[in-house]
Amino acid sequence: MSPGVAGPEPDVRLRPVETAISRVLFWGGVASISIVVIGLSAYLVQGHLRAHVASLAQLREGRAAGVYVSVGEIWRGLRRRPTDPLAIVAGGLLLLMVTPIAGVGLAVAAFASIGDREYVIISTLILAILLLSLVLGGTG
Amino acid sequence: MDLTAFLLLLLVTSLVAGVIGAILGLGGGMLLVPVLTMFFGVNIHYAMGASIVSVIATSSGAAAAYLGSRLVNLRIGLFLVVATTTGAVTGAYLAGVVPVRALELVLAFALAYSAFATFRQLNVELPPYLPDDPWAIRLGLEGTYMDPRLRTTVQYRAARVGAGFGVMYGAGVLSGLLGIGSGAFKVLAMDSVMKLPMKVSTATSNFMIGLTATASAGVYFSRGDVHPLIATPVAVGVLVGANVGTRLMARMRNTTVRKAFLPILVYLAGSMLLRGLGIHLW
Repeated sequence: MSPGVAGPEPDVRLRPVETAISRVLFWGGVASISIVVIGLSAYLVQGHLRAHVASLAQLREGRAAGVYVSVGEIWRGLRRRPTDPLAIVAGGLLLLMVTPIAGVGLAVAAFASIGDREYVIISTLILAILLLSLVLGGTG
Repeated sequence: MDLTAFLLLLLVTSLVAGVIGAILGLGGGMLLVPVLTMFFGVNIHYAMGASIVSVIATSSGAAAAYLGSRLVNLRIGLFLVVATTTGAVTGAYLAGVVPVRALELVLAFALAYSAFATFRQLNVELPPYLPDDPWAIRLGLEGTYMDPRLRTTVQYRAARVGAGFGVMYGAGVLSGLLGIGSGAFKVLAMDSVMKLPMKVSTATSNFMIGLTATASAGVYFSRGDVHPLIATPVAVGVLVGANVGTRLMARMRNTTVRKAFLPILVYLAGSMLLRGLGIHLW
């Protein structure tokens, strides 16, 4: 089959699937950006008032404070009063990281709805690998 | 340097990384890690954490737009992600068993050869005819997209599916074993092995790298490598940059994208050769 000549018919059934995944990825990105910007702005304002903003030297030495490493920690940081702005930032970053997983989850459902069994299996397999690696990675 | 100045400079750097990453199907980490460590002096762990955030952000920003313009082939992407993620898991287990420096030297030569092969087909706008692959037909690894530059609808079907799947698995193993991004290998496998149009290759690679990166993001996060002060400007800059990059790429010729990709291959071959010889630049 040569490009541009007679070949595969465009698979129109796939279009709603592509549109749906595209929207999840786009709005997941927009939502996480908004959250991290709000969190970072709050941190900088608070830091300038109280003068405890992390220094560049800490970033160079690799032992800076304010790094959240689990969902539980982020949750506790968010519930603390006053709320730790860096917990908001970490929550936004975590949302960015799970957005592709939501996209694959949607792909499973969408392929099922158009009755494409092979791709239901393929996308379920990927979803399982992603979820497993996330749990084994320690964020779960 | 003042912290605000640092954040702004990092934001601008990430914008550039996002544009380049979106056009070439790379995560942008290849540009960000050296800049963060050598120019800003940031600790390598935070640089790697920022790199993984950058890859996911590029992928989300670019894949959203490319899926809309039908440049991402969803079926080809998902099919090949199975190979890269299982490869990455294999690579992580092989770490400590395989002599890494010998592997880096082999990889340097493989990349140098790929650069030569890419150079030879530098002016090929659309891939040549190859016999239909039964797996491509069975799994529907084909598609069409409207090319605004060529002002025509381009139709394509994947060739040499088995070989492409194998190269993708190898790319996954290497990225797991050597801790390097596999975007360039993904593009190579789709462009050179499976003979997909270059723009479909880089767009689909953008979709795939996000999924592969997500598989290892948990590890970086729980290790404390994702520092909010570094990851935030990176995420924002790269997402916006990737959006700009997708608009530019849709209007480019396949040959232009390939010409921009060639120096990346040469750079990768060079840096792998140095690593294999025991010289680390950062």
